[in-house]
Amino acid sequence: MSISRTLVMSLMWLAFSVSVHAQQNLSAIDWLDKMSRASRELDYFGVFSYEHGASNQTLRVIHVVRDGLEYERLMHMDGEPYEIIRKGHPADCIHSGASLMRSDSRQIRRNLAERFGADYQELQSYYQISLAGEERVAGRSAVKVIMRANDDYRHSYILSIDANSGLLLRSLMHDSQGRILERFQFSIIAAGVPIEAEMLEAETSNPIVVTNHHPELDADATEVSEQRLIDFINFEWLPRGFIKVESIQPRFESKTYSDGLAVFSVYLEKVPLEAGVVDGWAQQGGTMALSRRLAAPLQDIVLSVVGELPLLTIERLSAGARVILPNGVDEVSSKANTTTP
Amino acid sequence: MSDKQAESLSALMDNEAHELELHRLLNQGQDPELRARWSRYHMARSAMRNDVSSFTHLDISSAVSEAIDKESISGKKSWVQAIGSFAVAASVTLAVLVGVRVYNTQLSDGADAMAAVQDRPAVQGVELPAITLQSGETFASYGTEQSRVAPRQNQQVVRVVRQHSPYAQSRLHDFMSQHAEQATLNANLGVIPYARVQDSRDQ
Repeated sequence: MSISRTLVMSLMWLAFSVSVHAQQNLSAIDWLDKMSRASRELDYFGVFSYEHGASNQTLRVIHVVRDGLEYERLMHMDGEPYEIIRKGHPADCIHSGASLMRSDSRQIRRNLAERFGADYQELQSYYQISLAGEERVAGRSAVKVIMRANDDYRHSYILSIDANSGLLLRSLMHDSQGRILERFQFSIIAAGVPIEAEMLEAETSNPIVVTNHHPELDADATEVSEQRLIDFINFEWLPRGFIKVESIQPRFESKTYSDGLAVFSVYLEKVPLEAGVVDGWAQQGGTMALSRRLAAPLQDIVLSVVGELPLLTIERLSAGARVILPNGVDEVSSKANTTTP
Repeated sequence: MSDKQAESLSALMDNEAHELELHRLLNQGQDPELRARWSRYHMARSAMRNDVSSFTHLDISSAVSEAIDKESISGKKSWVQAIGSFAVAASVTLAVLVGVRVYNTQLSDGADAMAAVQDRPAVQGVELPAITLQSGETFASYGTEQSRVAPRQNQQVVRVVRQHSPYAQSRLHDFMSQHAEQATLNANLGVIPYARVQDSRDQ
Protein backbone atom coordinates (compact mmCIF):
# COMPACT_ATOMS: atom_id res chain seq x y z
CA MET A 1 0.00 0.00 0.00
CA SER A 2 2.58 2.47 1.14
CA ILE A 3 4.97 1.37 -1.60
CA SER A 4 2.39 1.97 -4.30
CA ARG A 5 1.57 5.34 -2.78
CA THR A 6 5.24 6.29 -2.83
CA LEU A 7 5.44 5.11 -6.42
CA VAL A 8 2.44 7.22 -7.42
CA MET A 9 3.90 10.23 -5.60
CA SER A 10 7.24 9.73 -7.33
CA LEU A 11 5.57 9.46 -10.71
CA MET A 12 3.57 12.60 -10.04
CA TRP A 13 6.68 14.43 -8.96
CA LEU A 14 8.47 13.19 -12.05
CA ALA A 15 5.63 14.32 -14.30
CA PHE A 16 5.62 17.73 -12.58
CA SER A 17 9.37 18.21 -12.87
CA VAL A 18 9.28 17.13 -16.52
CA SER A 19 6.58 19.71 -17.28
CA VAL A 20 8.48 22.41 -15.42
CA HIS A 21 11.64 21.42 -17.22
CA ALA A 22 9.86 21.62 -20.57
CA GLN A 23 8.73 25.14 -19.71
CA GLN A 24 12.20 26.16 -18.69
CA ASN A 25 13.26 25.74 -22.28
CA LEU A 26 11.05 28.64 -23.31
CA SER A 27 12.88 31.83 -24.17
CA ALA A 28 11.98 35.22 -22.69
CA ILE A 29 10.19 36.08 -25.93
CA ASP A 30 8.19 32.83 -25.70
CA TRP A 31 7.14 33.73 -22.16
CA LEU A 32 5.94 37.16 -23.27
CA ASP A 33 3.96 35.51 -26.05
CA LYS A 34 2.40 33.15 -23.53
CA MET A 35 1.65 35.99 -21.10
CA SER A 36 -0.02 38.06 -23.80
CA ARG A 37 -2.45 35.22 -24.55
CA ALA A 38 -3.09 34.02 -20.99
CA SER A 39 -4.66 37.18 -19.55
CA ARG A 40 -7.10 37.29 -22.44
CA GLU A 41 -7.93 33.63 -23.07
CA LEU A 42 -7.98 31.97 -19.64
CA ASP A 43 -10.62 31.79 -16.92
CA TYR A 44 -9.16 33.00 -13.64
CA PHE A 45 -9.89 34.87 -10.46
CA GLY A 46 -7.63 36.36 -7.88
CA VAL A 47 -6.74 39.20 -5.55
CA PHE A 48 -3.98 41.64 -6.34
CA SER A 49 -2.49 44.84 -5.04
CA TYR A 50 -1.67 47.91 -7.07
CA GLU A 51 0.75 50.34 -5.50
CA HIS A 52 2.27 53.64 -6.52
CA GLY A 53 3.93 56.11 -4.20
CA ALA A 54 2.15 55.96 -0.85
CA SER A 55 -1.04 54.64 -2.42
CA ASN A 56 -1.84 50.96 -2.19
CA GLN A 57 -5.07 49.41 -3.40
CA THR A 58 -6.30 45.84 -3.23
CA LEU A 59 -8.52 44.62 -6.04
CA ARG A 60 -10.26 41.40 -6.94
CA VAL A 61 -10.55 40.26 -10.52
CA ILE A 62 -12.70 37.62 -12.21
CA HIS A 63 -12.03 36.91 -15.85
CA VAL A 64 -13.85 34.40 -18.02
CA VAL A 65 -14.32 33.71 -21.71
CA ARG A 66 -17.87 32.66 -22.66
CA ASP A 67 -18.79 31.94 -26.28
CA GLY A 68 -15.50 33.47 -27.33
CA LEU A 69 -16.22 36.78 -25.59
CA GLU A 70 -14.29 38.19 -22.67
CA TYR A 71 -16.00 39.11 -19.42
CA GLU A 72 -14.05 40.77 -16.65
CA ARG A 73 -15.15 42.12 -13.30
CA LEU A 74 -12.80 44.26 -11.22
CA MET A 75 -13.73 45.16 -7.66
CA HIS A 76 -11.86 47.56 -5.40
CA MET A 77 -11.62 46.01 -1.95
CA ASP A 78 -10.70 49.21 -0.05
CA GLY A 79 -12.65 52.42 0.38
CA GLU A 80 -15.89 53.10 -1.45
CA PRO A 81 -17.15 50.09 -3.41
CA TYR A 82 -16.02 50.62 -6.97
CA GLU A 83 -16.62 48.09 -9.67
CA ILE A 84 -15.62 47.95 -13.32
CA ILE A 85 -17.15 45.43 -15.69
CA ARG A 86 -15.66 44.89 -19.12
CA LYS A 87 -17.52 42.67 -21.50
CA GLY A 88 -18.04 41.71 -25.11
CA HIS A 89 -14.53 41.81 -26.44
CA PRO A 90 -13.71 38.76 -28.60
CA ALA A 91 -10.87 36.89 -26.90
CA ASP A 92 -9.30 36.01 -30.23
CA CYS A 93 -9.28 39.59 -31.51
CA ILE A 94 -5.67 40.72 -31.34
CA HIS A 95 -5.06 44.43 -31.35
CA SER A 96 -1.96 45.91 -32.94
CA GLY A 97 -0.30 46.60 -29.59
CA ALA A 98 -0.92 43.02 -28.48
CA SER A 99 0.37 41.67 -31.78
CA LEU A 100 3.79 43.20 -31.04
CA MET A 101 4.23 40.64 -28.29
CA ARG A 102 2.99 37.57 -30.17
CA SER A 103 5.43 35.57 -32.20
CA ASP A 104 3.06 34.60 -35.03
CA SER A 105 1.67 38.14 -35.42
CA ARG A 106 5.17 39.58 -35.35
CA GLN A 107 6.14 37.27 -38.19
CA ILE A 108 3.22 38.56 -40.26
CA ARG A 109 4.18 42.17 -39.47
CA ARG A 110 7.77 41.46 -40.44
CA ASN A 111 6.72 39.94 -43.75
CA LEU A 112 4.37 42.82 -44.56
CA ALA A 113 7.04 45.37 -43.69
CA GLU A 114 9.55 43.58 -45.92
CA ARG A 115 7.12 43.41 -48.81
CA PHE A 116 6.08 47.06 -48.65
CA GLY A 117 9.40 48.45 -47.49
CA ALA A 118 7.76 49.78 -44.33
CA ASP A 119 9.56 50.43 -41.07
CA TYR A 120 9.25 47.59 -38.58
CA GLN A 121 11.00 47.44 -35.22
CA GLU A 122 11.32 44.24 -33.22
CA LEU A 123 10.39 44.37 -29.55
CA GLN A 124 14.01 43.49 -28.77
CA SER A 125 15.31 46.59 -30.52
CA TYR A 126 13.80 48.95 -27.95
CA TYR A 127 13.69 46.65 -24.91
CA GLN A 128 16.55 44.49 -23.74
CA ILE A 129 14.66 41.31 -22.86
CA SER A 130 16.16 38.66 -20.62
CA LEU A 131 15.19 35.78 -18.35
CA ALA A 132 16.25 36.27 -14.73
CA GLY A 133 15.57 32.91 -13.15
CA GLU A 134 12.61 31.56 -11.24
CA GLU A 135 10.90 32.81 -8.12
CA ARG A 136 7.78 32.27 -6.09
CA VAL A 137 4.90 34.74 -6.33
CA ALA A 138 1.39 34.28 -4.91
CA GLY A 139 2.38 30.78 -3.84
CA ARG A 140 3.18 29.80 -7.41
CA SER A 141 6.33 29.15 -9.32
CA ALA A 142 7.06 32.10 -11.60
CA VAL A 143 9.54 33.03 -14.31
CA LYS A 144 11.14 36.44 -14.12
CA VAL A 145 11.47 38.41 -17.35
CA ILE A 146 13.33 41.71 -17.36
CA MET A 147 12.45 44.27 -20.00
CA ARG A 148 14.99 47.03 -19.81
CA ALA A 149 14.31 50.08 -21.96
CA ASN A 150 17.05 50.77 -24.49
CA ASP A 151 16.38 54.51 -24.39
CA ASP A 152 15.11 57.16 -21.96
CA TYR A 153 11.81 57.48 -23.79
CA ARG A 154 10.07 54.62 -22.01
CA HIS A 155 10.08 52.85 -18.65
CA SER A 156 11.51 49.43 -17.81
CA TYR A 157 9.62 46.46 -16.41
CA ILE A 158 10.35 43.44 -14.28
CA LEU A 159 7.69 40.84 -14.95
CA SER A 160 7.00 37.63 -13.05
CA ILE A 161 5.01 35.21 -15.17
CA ASP A 162 3.24 32.15 -13.77
CA ALA A 163 5.24 29.13 -14.94
CA ASN A 164 2.06 27.11 -15.27
CA SER A 165 -0.60 29.38 -16.79
CA GLY A 166 1.47 32.19 -18.24
CA LEU A 167 -0.52 34.80 -16.29
CA LEU A 168 1.30 37.91 -15.16
CA LEU A 169 1.68 37.59 -11.39
CA ARG A 170 3.82 40.62 -10.63
CA SER A 171 4.99 43.66 -12.48
CA LEU A 172 7.37 46.42 -11.39
CA MET A 173 7.65 49.50 -13.57
CA HIS A 174 10.70 51.65 -13.00
CA ASP A 175 12.20 54.72 -14.59
CA SER A 176 15.73 55.20 -15.94
CA GLN A 177 16.96 56.16 -12.45
CA GLY A 178 15.66 52.88 -11.05
CA ARG A 179 12.79 54.46 -9.11
CA ILE A 180 9.80 52.13 -8.86
CA LEU A 181 6.79 53.92 -10.33
CA GLU A 182 4.19 51.22 -9.85
CA ARG A 183 3.97 47.77 -8.38
CA PHE A 184 1.32 45.24 -9.31
CA GLN A 185 1.17 41.87 -7.61
CA PHE A 186 -1.26 39.02 -7.19
CA SER A 187 -1.42 37.70 -3.64
CA ILE A 188 -3.73 34.85 -4.56
CA ILE A 189 -4.84 33.55 -7.93
CA ALA A 190 -6.66 30.53 -9.30
CA ALA A 191 -6.45 29.75 -13.01
CA GLY A 192 -8.26 27.14 -15.03
CA VAL A 193 -10.85 26.45 -12.33
CA PRO A 194 -14.62 26.45 -12.88
CA ILE A 195 -16.16 29.86 -12.15
CA GLU A 196 -19.75 29.95 -10.95
CA ALA A 197 -22.22 32.09 -12.88
CA GLU A 198 -23.06 34.19 -9.78
CA MET A 199 -19.44 35.25 -9.47
CA LEU A 200 -19.92 37.20 -12.68
CA GLU A 201 -22.81 39.26 -11.37
CA ALA A 202 -22.27 42.85 -10.30
CA GLU A 203 -22.08 43.44 -6.55
CA THR A 204 -22.70 47.15 -6.60
CA SER A 205 -25.76 48.94 -7.93
CA ASN A 206 -23.86 51.25 -10.29
CA PRO A 207 -20.80 49.53 -11.72
CA ILE A 208 -18.87 51.12 -14.56
CA VAL A 209 -19.68 48.95 -17.55
CA VAL A 210 -17.46 48.99 -20.61
CA THR A 211 -19.15 47.11 -23.42
CA ASN A 212 -16.61 46.49 -26.07
CA HIS A 213 -18.22 46.27 -29.48
CA HIS A 214 -15.98 46.50 -32.46
CA PRO A 215 -16.68 49.25 -34.98
CA GLU A 216 -17.13 46.73 -37.78
CA LEU A 217 -19.69 44.85 -35.68
CA ASP A 218 -21.47 48.06 -34.85
CA ALA A 219 -24.56 48.83 -36.95
CA ASP A 220 -24.09 52.55 -36.32
CA ALA A 221 -20.50 52.54 -37.49
CA THR A 222 -21.31 54.64 -40.54
CA GLU A 223 -22.25 57.58 -38.31
CA VAL A 224 -18.63 57.99 -37.29
CA SER A 225 -17.57 58.64 -40.86
CA GLU A 226 -17.91 62.43 -40.48
CA GLN A 227 -14.65 64.34 -40.37
CA ARG A 228 -13.08 64.48 -36.98
CA LEU A 229 -10.48 66.83 -35.60
CA ILE A 230 -8.26 63.95 -34.50
CA ASP A 231 -7.80 62.84 -38.13
CA PHE A 232 -5.71 65.96 -38.76
CA ILE A 233 -3.06 65.37 -36.14
CA ASN A 234 0.36 63.95 -36.86
CA PHE A 235 3.50 63.47 -34.81
CA GLU A 236 6.76 64.85 -36.15
CA TRP A 237 8.49 62.39 -33.84
CA LEU A 238 7.58 59.05 -32.26
CA PRO A 239 9.74 56.99 -29.90
CA ARG A 240 11.21 53.92 -31.57
CA GLY A 241 8.80 51.01 -31.98
CA PHE A 242 5.54 52.86 -31.34
CA ILE A 243 2.74 52.10 -33.80
CA LYS A 244 -0.76 53.48 -34.09
CA VAL A 245 -3.39 51.10 -32.79
CA GLU A 246 -7.12 50.86 -33.35
CA SER A 247 -9.31 53.01 -31.13
CA ILE A 248 -12.42 51.26 -29.97
CA GLN A 249 -15.57 53.31 -29.45
CA PRO A 250 -13.75 56.37 -28.26
CA ARG A 251 -15.85 58.71 -26.18
CA PHE A 252 -13.38 61.47 -27.01
CA GLU A 253 -11.50 62.14 -30.20
CA SER A 254 -8.27 60.29 -29.72
CA LYS A 255 -5.49 58.30 -31.27
CA THR A 256 -3.57 55.62 -29.39
CA TYR A 257 -0.04 54.32 -29.92
CA SER A 258 1.74 51.34 -28.38
CA ASP A 259 5.18 49.71 -28.39
CA GLY A 260 3.69 46.43 -27.13
CA LEU A 261 4.05 47.37 -23.47
CA ALA A 262 3.81 51.13 -23.08
CA VAL A 263 0.74 52.90 -24.46
CA PHE A 264 -0.04 56.55 -24.95
CA SER A 265 -3.14 58.34 -26.22
CA VAL A 266 -3.51 61.79 -27.68
CA TYR A 267 -6.76 63.73 -27.34
CA LEU A 268 -7.99 66.78 -29.21
CA GLU A 269 -10.94 68.77 -28.04
CA LYS A 270 -12.46 72.18 -28.68
CA VAL A 271 -12.43 74.16 -25.45
CA PRO A 272 -13.49 77.82 -25.45
CA LEU A 273 -10.96 80.29 -24.04
CA GLU A 274 -13.41 81.17 -21.24
CA ALA A 275 -12.95 77.67 -19.83
CA GLY A 276 -9.83 78.91 -18.05
CA VAL A 277 -6.36 77.49 -17.68
CA VAL A 278 -5.91 74.13 -19.33
CA ASP A 279 -2.13 73.95 -19.71
CA GLY A 280 -0.30 71.73 -17.28
CA TRP A 281 0.67 68.21 -16.42
CA ALA A 282 -0.34 65.52 -13.95
CA GLN A 283 1.31 62.32 -12.82
CA GLN A 284 -0.15 59.31 -11.09
CA GLY A 285 2.17 56.39 -10.59
CA GLY A 286 3.55 55.59 -14.00
CA THR A 287 0.85 57.49 -15.85
CA MET A 288 1.74 60.95 -17.07
CA ALA A 289 -0.71 63.41 -18.61
CA LEU A 290 -0.04 66.74 -20.25
CA SER A 291 -2.43 69.27 -21.74
CA ARG A 292 -1.74 72.38 -23.78
CA ARG A 293 -3.83 74.82 -25.71
CA LEU A 294 -2.74 75.06 -29.31
CA ALA A 295 -1.35 78.36 -30.51
CA ALA A 296 -3.35 80.78 -32.68
CA PRO A 297 -5.18 80.40 -34.95
CA LEU A 298 -6.08 77.03 -33.40
CA GLN A 299 -6.32 78.42 -29.87
CA ASP A 300 -9.76 76.93 -29.32
CA ILE A 301 -8.26 73.41 -29.48
CA VAL A 302 -6.70 71.67 -26.48
CA LEU A 303 -4.26 68.82 -27.00
CA SER A 304 -3.68 66.25 -24.26
CA VAL A 305 -1.22 63.38 -24.21
CA VAL A 306 -1.76 60.61 -21.63
CA GLY A 307 0.46 57.58 -21.23
CA GLU A 308 2.76 55.39 -19.17
CA LEU A 309 5.84 57.23 -20.35
CA PRO A 310 8.41 59.61 -18.84
CA LEU A 311 7.52 63.31 -18.83
CA LEU A 312 10.37 63.89 -21.28
CA THR A 313 8.64 61.69 -23.86
CA ILE A 314 5.19 63.14 -23.25
CA GLU A 315 6.64 66.65 -23.61
CA ARG A 316 8.39 65.81 -26.85
CA LEU A 317 5.25 64.20 -28.22
CA SER A 318 3.14 67.17 -27.22
CA ALA A 319 5.58 69.67 -28.71
CA GLY A 320 5.95 67.62 -31.88
CA ALA A 321 2.23 67.10 -32.48
CA ARG A 322 1.09 68.93 -35.61
CA VAL A 323 -2.53 69.72 -36.31
CA ILE A 324 -3.10 70.81 -39.88
CA LEU A 325 -6.73 71.40 -40.82
CA PRO A 326 -7.87 70.52 -44.38
CA ASN A 327 -7.84 74.23 -45.29
CA GLY A 328 -4.13 74.36 -44.50
CA VAL A 329 -4.52 76.20 -41.21
CA ASP A 330 -2.05 75.10 -38.54
CA GLU A 331 -0.23 76.56 -35.57
CA VAL A 332 3.24 76.47 -37.05
CA SER A 333 3.62 80.21 -37.70
CA SER A 334 2.61 81.17 -34.18
CA LYS A 335 4.55 78.30 -32.61
CA ALA A 336 7.74 79.94 -33.89
CA ASN A 337 6.82 83.09 -31.98
CA THR A 338 6.32 81.35 -28.67
CA THR A 339 9.62 79.52 -28.73
CA THR A 340 11.72 82.68 -29.17
CA PRO A 341 12.60 83.99 -25.71
CA MET B 1 53.61 47.42 9.39
CA SER B 2 50.93 47.01 6.75
CA ASP B 3 47.27 47.91 6.97
CA LYS B 4 46.50 44.22 6.65
CA GLN B 5 48.51 43.45 9.77
CA ALA B 6 46.82 46.26 11.66
CA GLU B 7 43.48 44.88 10.57
CA SER B 8 44.40 41.37 11.70
CA LEU B 9 45.63 42.71 15.02
CA SER B 10 42.41 44.58 15.53
CA ALA B 11 40.43 41.45 14.69
CA LEU B 12 42.51 39.46 17.16
CA MET B 13 41.71 42.03 19.86
CA ASP B 14 38.03 41.48 19.17
CA ASN B 15 38.40 37.71 19.20
CA GLU B 16 37.41 37.69 15.56
CA ALA B 17 40.74 36.81 13.98
CA HIS B 18 40.85 33.91 11.59
CA GLU B 19 43.34 31.16 12.41
CA LEU B 20 45.46 32.12 9.40
CA GLU B 21 45.60 35.72 10.59
CA LEU B 22 46.68 34.58 14.04
CA HIS B 23 49.53 32.53 12.53
CA ARG B 24 50.66 35.44 10.41
CA LEU B 25 50.73 37.74 13.41
CA LEU B 26 52.67 35.24 15.53
CA ASN B 27 55.24 34.79 12.77
CA GLN B 28 55.77 38.53 12.65
CA GLY B 29 55.81 38.83 16.43
CA GLN B 30 59.29 40.36 16.43
CA ASP B 31 58.19 43.42 14.53
CA PRO B 32 58.64 46.22 17.10
CA GLU B 33 55.89 48.34 15.64
CA LEU B 34 53.47 45.41 15.77
CA ARG B 35 54.40 44.70 19.38
CA ALA B 36 54.02 48.35 20.32
CA ARG B 37 50.63 48.49 18.76
CA TRP B 38 49.55 45.26 20.48
CA SER B 39 50.56 46.75 23.77
CA ARG B 40 48.79 50.03 22.97
CA TYR B 41 45.61 48.19 22.02
CA HIS B 42 45.63 46.30 25.28
CA MET B 43 46.24 49.40 27.29
CA ALA B 44 43.46 51.17 25.48
CA ARG B 45 41.07 48.25 25.96
CA SER B 46 41.84 47.95 29.66
CA ALA B 47 41.34 51.68 30.03
CA MET B 48 38.03 51.54 28.26
CA ARG B 49 36.85 48.67 30.46
CA ASN B 50 38.03 50.47 33.62
CA ASP B 51 40.09 47.33 34.21
CA VAL B 52 43.29 49.16 35.25
CA SER B 53 44.31 47.02 38.23
CA SER B 54 47.37 45.53 36.56
CA PHE B 55 48.46 48.94 35.32
CA THR B 56 47.88 50.95 38.47
CA HIS B 57 51.58 51.74 38.64
CA LEU B 58 51.43 53.26 35.14
CA ASP B 59 50.04 56.56 34.06
CA ILE B 60 47.40 55.02 31.85
CA SER B 61 45.75 58.28 30.94
CA SER B 62 48.90 59.83 29.54
CA ALA B 63 49.84 56.63 27.67
CA VAL B 64 46.38 56.38 26.15
CA SER B 65 46.29 60.04 25.21
CA GLU B 66 49.71 59.69 23.65
CA ALA B 67 48.50 56.73 21.66
CA ILE B 68 45.41 58.63 20.62
CA ASP B 69 47.52 61.63 19.67
CA LYS B 70 49.71 59.45 17.48
CA GLU B 71 46.69 57.93 15.84
CA SER B 72 45.16 61.27 15.08
CA ILE B 73 48.42 62.65 13.67
CA SER B 74 48.92 59.66 11.38
CA GLY B 75 45.30 59.92 10.33
CA LYS B 76 45.47 63.65 9.64
CA LYS B 77 43.76 64.51 6.38
CA SER B 78 45.46 66.40 3.61
CA TRP B 79 44.02 69.78 2.65
CA VAL B 80 42.57 68.21 -0.50
CA GLN B 81 40.60 65.75 1.61
CA ALA B 82 39.55 68.54 3.94
CA ILE B 83 38.18 70.60 1.06
CA GLY B 84 36.53 67.46 -0.26
CA SER B 85 34.64 66.87 2.95
CA PHE B 86 33.69 70.52 3.11
CA ALA B 87 32.29 70.26 -0.41
CA VAL B 88 30.27 67.19 0.55
CA ALA B 89 28.94 68.94 3.63
CA ALA B 90 28.09 72.02 1.59
CA SER B 91 26.26 70.01 -1.03
CA VAL B 92 24.26 68.24 1.65
CA THR B 93 23.25 71.64 3.00
CA LEU B 94 22.35 72.75 -0.49
CA ALA B 95 20.27 69.61 -1.01
CA VAL B 96 18.44 70.29 2.25
CA LEU B 97 17.81 73.89 1.18
CA VAL B 98 16.56 72.77 -2.22
CA GLY B 99 14.34 70.21 -0.51
CA VAL B 100 12.83 72.93 1.64
CA ARG B 101 12.36 75.13 -1.44
CA VAL B 102 10.51 72.39 -3.28
CA TYR B 103 8.36 71.48 -0.31
CA ASN B 104 7.48 75.13 0.21
CA THR B 105 5.96 75.22 -3.20
CA GLN B 106 3.80 72.21 -2.49
CA LEU B 107 0.24 72.88 -1.57
CA SER B 108 -1.47 70.31 0.56
CA ASP B 109 -4.99 71.38 -0.27
CA GLY B 110 -6.09 67.94 -1.37
CA ALA B 111 -9.70 68.81 -2.19
CA ASP B 112 -8.83 71.39 -4.77
CA ALA B 113 -5.24 70.57 -5.42
CA MET B 114 -5.26 70.05 -9.13
CA ALA B 115 -6.42 73.58 -9.85
CA ALA B 116 -4.92 75.33 -6.86
CA VAL B 117 -1.75 77.09 -7.91
CA GLN B 118 0.05 80.06 -6.51
CA ASP B 119 -0.54 83.52 -7.83
CA ARG B 120 2.70 84.73 -9.28
CA PRO B 121 3.51 87.32 -11.90
CA ALA B 122 5.44 86.41 -15.02
CA VAL B 123 8.99 85.57 -14.00
CA GLN B 124 11.98 85.50 -16.27
CA GLY B 125 14.67 82.98 -15.51
CA VAL B 126 14.70 79.68 -13.70
CA GLU B 127 11.69 79.10 -11.53
CA LEU B 128 10.41 75.96 -9.95
CA PRO B 129 6.97 75.01 -11.18
CA ALA B 130 4.23 74.91 -8.61
CA ILE B 131 3.80 71.32 -7.57
CA THR B 132 0.73 70.16 -5.76
CA LEU B 133 0.55 66.93 -3.86
CA GLN B 134 -2.79 65.19 -4.00
CA SER B 135 -4.18 62.77 -1.49
CA GLY B 136 -3.96 60.03 -4.10
CA GLU B 137 -0.29 60.74 -4.81
CA THR B 138 -1.10 62.58 -7.98
CA PHE B 139 1.31 65.32 -8.83
CA ALA B 140 0.04 68.11 -10.96
CA SER B 141 1.01 71.55 -12.07
CA TYR B 142 -1.25 73.91 -13.90
CA GLY B 143 -0.41 77.19 -15.50
CA THR B 144 1.23 78.41 -18.65
CA GLU B 145 4.67 76.89 -18.73
CA GLN B 146 6.66 77.42 -21.84
CA SER B 147 9.36 75.25 -20.35
CA ARG B 148 7.12 72.39 -21.37
CA VAL B 149 7.86 73.18 -24.99
CA ALA B 150 11.61 73.24 -24.47
CA PRO B 151 12.10 70.96 -21.46
CA ARG B 152 15.87 70.60 -21.72
CA GLN B 153 16.67 74.31 -21.68
CA ASN B 154 17.77 75.98 -18.49
CA GLN B 155 16.14 79.23 -19.43
CA GLN B 156 12.52 78.77 -18.55
CA VAL B 157 9.69 81.22 -18.61
CA VAL B 158 7.12 80.24 -16.05
CA ARG B 159 3.85 82.01 -15.56
CA VAL B 160 1.50 80.53 -13.03
CA VAL B 161 -1.95 82.00 -12.71
CA ARG B 162 -4.46 81.42 -9.96
CA GLN B 163 -7.31 80.08 -11.96
CA HIS B 164 -9.42 77.01 -11.55
CA SER B 165 -9.20 74.58 -14.37
CA PRO B 166 -12.52 72.75 -14.57
CA TYR B 167 -11.31 71.36 -17.85
CA ALA B 168 -8.30 69.69 -16.34
CA GLN B 169 -10.25 68.40 -13.39
CA SER B 170 -13.05 66.85 -15.34
CA ARG B 171 -11.16 65.76 -18.40
CA LEU B 172 -8.03 64.07 -17.12
CA HIS B 173 -9.97 61.37 -15.35
CA ASP B 174 -12.07 60.80 -18.46
CA PHE B 175 -8.98 60.65 -20.63
CA MET B 176 -7.27 58.25 -18.24
CA SER B 177 -10.32 55.94 -18.23
CA GLN B 178 -10.52 55.83 -21.99
CA HIS B 179 -6.77 55.39 -22.18
CA ALA B 180 -7.09 52.42 -19.80
CA GLU B 181 -9.40 50.61 -22.20
CA GLN B 182 -7.02 51.12 -25.12
CA ALA B 183 -4.10 50.08 -22.92
CA THR B 184 -5.88 46.90 -21.79
CA LEU B 185 -6.11 45.79 -25.40
CA ASN B 186 -2.65 46.98 -26.44
CA ALA B 187 -0.26 46.75 -23.48
CA ASN B 188 -0.29 42.98 -22.81
CA LEU B 189 -0.38 43.68 -19.07
CA GLY B 190 -3.77 42.16 -18.25
CA VAL B 191 -5.71 44.04 -15.59
CA ILE B 192 -3.05 46.66 -14.79
CA PRO B 193 -4.41 49.49 -16.99
CA TYR B 194 -7.76 49.50 -15.19
CA ALA B 195 -6.15 49.22 -11.78
CA ARG B 196 -4.45 52.52 -12.60
CA VAL B 197 -7.76 54.36 -12.96
CA GLN B 198 -8.63 53.85 -9.29
CA ASP B 199 -7.51 57.11 -7.72
CA SER B 200 -8.93 59.36 -10.37
CA ARG B 201 -12.53 58.47 -9.67
CA ASP B 202 -12.98 60.92 -6.82
CA GLN B 203 -11.44 63.87 -8.57
